[in-house]
Amino acid sequence: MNNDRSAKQAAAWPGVARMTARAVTALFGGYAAAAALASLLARLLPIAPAEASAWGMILSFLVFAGLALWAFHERRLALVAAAIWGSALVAGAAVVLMGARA
Amino acid sequence: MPYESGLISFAAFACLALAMKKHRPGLEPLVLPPQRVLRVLGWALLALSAAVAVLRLGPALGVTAWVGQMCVAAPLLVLLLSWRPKAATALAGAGLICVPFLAFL
Amino acid sequence: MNVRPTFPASAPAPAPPARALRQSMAWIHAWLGLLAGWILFAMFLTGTASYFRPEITQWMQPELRASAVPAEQAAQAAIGHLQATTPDDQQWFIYLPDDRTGVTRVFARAKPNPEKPPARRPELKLDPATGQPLEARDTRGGEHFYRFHFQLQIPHPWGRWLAGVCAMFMLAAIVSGVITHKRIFVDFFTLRWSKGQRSWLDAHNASAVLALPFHAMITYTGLITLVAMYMPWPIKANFDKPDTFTTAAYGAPAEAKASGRPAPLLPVTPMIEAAARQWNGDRPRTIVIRNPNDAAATVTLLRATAGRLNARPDSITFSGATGQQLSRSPSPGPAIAAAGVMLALHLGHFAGPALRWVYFFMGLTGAAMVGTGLVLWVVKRRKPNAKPFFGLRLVERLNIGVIACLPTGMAAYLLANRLIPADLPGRAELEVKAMFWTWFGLAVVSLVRPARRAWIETLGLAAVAFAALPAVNALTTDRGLIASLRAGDGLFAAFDLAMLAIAALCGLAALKASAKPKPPERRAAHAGQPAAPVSKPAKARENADAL
Repeated sequence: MNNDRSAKQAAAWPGVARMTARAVTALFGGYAAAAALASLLARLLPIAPAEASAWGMILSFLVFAGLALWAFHERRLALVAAAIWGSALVAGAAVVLMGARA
Repeated sequence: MPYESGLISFAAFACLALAMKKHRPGLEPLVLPPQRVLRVLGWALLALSAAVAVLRLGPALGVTAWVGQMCVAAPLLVLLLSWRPKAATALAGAGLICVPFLAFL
Repeated sequence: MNVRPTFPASAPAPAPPARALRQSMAWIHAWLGLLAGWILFAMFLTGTASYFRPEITQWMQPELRASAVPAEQAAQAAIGHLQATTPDDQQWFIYLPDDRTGVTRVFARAKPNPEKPPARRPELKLDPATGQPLEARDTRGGEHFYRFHFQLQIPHPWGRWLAGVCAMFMLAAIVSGVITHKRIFVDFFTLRWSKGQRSWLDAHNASAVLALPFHAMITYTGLITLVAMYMPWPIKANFDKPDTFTTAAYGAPAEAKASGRPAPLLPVTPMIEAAARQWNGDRPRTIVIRNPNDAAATVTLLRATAGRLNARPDSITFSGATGQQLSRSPSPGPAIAAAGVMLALHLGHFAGPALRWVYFFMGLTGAAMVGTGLVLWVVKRRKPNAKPFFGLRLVERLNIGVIACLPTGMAAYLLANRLIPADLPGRAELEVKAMFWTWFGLAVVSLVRPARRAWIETLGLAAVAFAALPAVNALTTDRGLIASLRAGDGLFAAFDLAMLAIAALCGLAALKASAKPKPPERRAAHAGQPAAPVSKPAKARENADAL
């Protein structure tokens, strides 16, 4: 069933464009999602704000690497784009709405 | 020079390599101990190299120095093992013999 | 490029999950390595040289001879010089000598003057014992390799961003490489020579797997060194002003305004002794004096980080007018401390001479991993009977231009230091230009030669350039190898010997590249350097799985 869908998508949208979208999602979307998720973690961890920020910064690159690799592993481009850009948007919005602690 | 840990881990990796069937040919007329013995010896030496580094340099610097010296000892051993397996084995033994003397330097 | 893998556009039969993961990771691993490989190779090589940054600087100023002086004496001598020349400055930075630098460095910042902004003052080198300015040839020294390592000679901030992107590619390449490599333990000690592609894969695997802790550490901690630039968002999530974070994390900076009332600056020796008592006898490495000779003067001592596995130095601030201790940096929480330890692990300042050499060899392993990966990409895709396609030739030429030509460029930088007259204006810039003109010039010139000849000749040239260094050093200074061995000058002797060793390594590589390929592989070798294997079904399958 996946095959069916990706075959249809592939027909509708040429491979180069799909690969470009995937790469942009992995590089820029992955960065945005990692930044937003790390910021959310920093904002929510119930420890001193400076410590929480530092943990967020330290862990962010691991999140980025994981998301970027997954973006190339998962076949369904729509799922990749939705998950990565979506988590960036949701986590980023949550951080902005909560505002700074100090 | 605190290189004892590296020399021990070099010998440890030599034991672990010679405990594998594919690295055993080419060493005649050397008679190697059984694979199991070498495997146990290798792990024991690896533990010893960690202990030596920690005792010499303390936990933080010791672990750093141990991992660092393993990262150099292992590639060196593999280079040597692929080129002159007998020399690599001899060097592992000679290194072990040097360890007690180095410890006093 | 006609080798663009078909994944993920079309794949007929769904593979089992583990195999599918390995395939996608192998695909992305090759692309990550290909896109970032050349820059990563240059970063590894210059970064490895940077473990000897102060030593390279010492070698590049042979007029200066290091002298060992206690911290107190060096500090007081430097302050004596600053008091005599610019007593009304806003700030003095004093970098005390240690056993690796041998000179005191001072940098003084004048009071801001709205009418006439003062010319930026250069950093001065002082004799540690007397405080007198030292005259030596103008050079960037080891600092140049260090800066290039993370700024890539590209204007700020783009060089740092590019280096960061490459480090991120490296991190992803490490993770995907480990997932791809399904025979890590079976092939742990395996290295087979003269088997074409198989040998390159073995060499790539061995250099990557056996030093994996170093590669993972150096990549991740490299990202952490510039984390405040790459990933400031978790700070912004908690703090409206970045200064608030700095204060919360590292303590309040001593930024008192000048009072305008003059007061003599007290001697620093008692302050250094007071600090040493709180630091288990450690001495300061850096002294920052704000508003000297003012009633509000402060003296901040930063603890030496050599021998300590945290690169964030503790600091203690004293009043310059009363000698009272004003503040001490708070002991950091676990996260701040973890970041400090990661920074220390990357920089390696804590390492003594023995561990520094370990770092150096691990760095070379990293360069070898990237280099063998790049060569493997070409060897793997070369078809014995087909004309190499454009992408293959491009990658091969870039491999030659970086792997074989950069070392010659680095040697040219050092040679230029000895060959450009010591008093020529702008010579520091010329040294840097010598490196890049040689590097890129050689890469361009090598295009006229067939690929295999280009490998041999550029590697041979690198060997000649490095071997020339001790000779040129002996001819242009009185600190040649024999003289320094006789004088017991360990640094200069070790430097010359290291250059000879690197020359031997480059020569060996040139020899290896020129080795006559075995008869059945001759056709493949004709197109470029070491030969691709004759394809046998079993071997081909094994190779396809392994990468």
